[in-house]
Amino acid sequence: MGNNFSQSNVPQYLDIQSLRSAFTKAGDVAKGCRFAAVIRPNGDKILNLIPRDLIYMCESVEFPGRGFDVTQIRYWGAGQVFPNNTLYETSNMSFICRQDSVERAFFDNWMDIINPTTSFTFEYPENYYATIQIYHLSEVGGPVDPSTRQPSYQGIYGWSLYKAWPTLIAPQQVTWADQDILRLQVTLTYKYWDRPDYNP
Amino acid sequence: MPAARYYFPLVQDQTQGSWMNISAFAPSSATVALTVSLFIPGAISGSNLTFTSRHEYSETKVTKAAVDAASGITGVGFGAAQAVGQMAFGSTLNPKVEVLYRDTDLRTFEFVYIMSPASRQEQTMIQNIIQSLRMYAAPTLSGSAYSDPRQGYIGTDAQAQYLGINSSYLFDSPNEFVIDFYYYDENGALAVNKNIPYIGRCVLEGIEVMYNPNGEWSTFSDGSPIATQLHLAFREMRVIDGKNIANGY
Repeated sequence: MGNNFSQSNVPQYLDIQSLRSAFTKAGDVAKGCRFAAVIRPNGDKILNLIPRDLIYMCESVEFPGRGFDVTQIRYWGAGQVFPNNTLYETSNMSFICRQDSVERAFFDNWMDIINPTTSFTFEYPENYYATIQIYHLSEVGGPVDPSTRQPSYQGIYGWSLYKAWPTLIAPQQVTWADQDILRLQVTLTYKYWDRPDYNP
Repeated sequence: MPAARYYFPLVQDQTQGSWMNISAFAPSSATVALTVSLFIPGAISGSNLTFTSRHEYSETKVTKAAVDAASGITGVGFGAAQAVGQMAFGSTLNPKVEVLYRDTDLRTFEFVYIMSPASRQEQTMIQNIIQSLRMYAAPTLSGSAYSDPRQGYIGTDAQAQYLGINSSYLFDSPNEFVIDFYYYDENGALAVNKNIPYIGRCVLEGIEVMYNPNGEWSTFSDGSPIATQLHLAFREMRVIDGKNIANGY
């Protein structure tokens, strides 16, 4: 059994204690429900547009991905690929809607600044860009703030998405057969992201 | 007065990346009249950065040349010899076709830039770049002469003015251009990129501006187009020979 396979590089002595230790020393498992997303305005036209409490209504967001556009080369035998450009996907966010329609109105207003329906001319992008900051939070809070007596949130990782603006407000289906909270799906594009607070 | 310098996008000078400088010179002058710095077009802009050297050869029948030279009557000697060969031996002369170098084309370079301004300042810069390049690539009436494009036919009334002291029969030649490629080296300093060949002094023989490169006409609130495509076609003024190539051209 297994006589045709060299055993020299097979990982040995894998045990449950080491597995537990591996989790413990890196802060245990990360959870996708611990996050916060903030939209910070850059452009003049949206400076006073963003609701201050929008952070609480952001029900879901995507930690951003990154990919490469590649050039395929084949010299002989199998081909291989080489990177030639970085690619970023759009960012999808979901917001809980309140009865004052604050969330819907904010994104409608943002879209109207980009391309007002009164003229259908476009605004210069520098005037409506925003930065989206996405934080992954720890499972347990940090030290208690003496003034508020609340534990501070500890970000364990984070991204800043630059030159962001909405490309799509998804239609919201409503029906009498549904008592669920109304949600708003928004797709935003951006130029690139980085990790300004990351210290490797 | 220092030469005008325009660049796009505006952030490019202050951060990173590679771009090309297009400098305009009056004919035979070494003084820069204008510099335009643009990004090196990439795939999204639909332009290839291609250097092509094309050498022309012509087919030459070596036997024909030899027989013609021996007969002293070009064109008749070879035909006569061929006829004699066919009659006497039932065969024909081998023309011994070879190729001989004849000429080398002047190199041409085409660049296509799609520029979409993010601010009013960038739009102004695009307008400056396009107007300057068009102006420096065009011939100019000598002296103070001016031709009004809206006038059409000269007409008898305007003959005196058109043929008078302020008119000119001559055009000043368009400017010439030098193109250099730059990048930031490991020390963050600007440097000429020697990893691609140099381009010799050029004329700008074609300039095409498209204001709806996506097929749709849309504008900002000030009427400026949301995107502008600039197509530049340069032709080098001298043949690049082997010594030039050894020196990096």
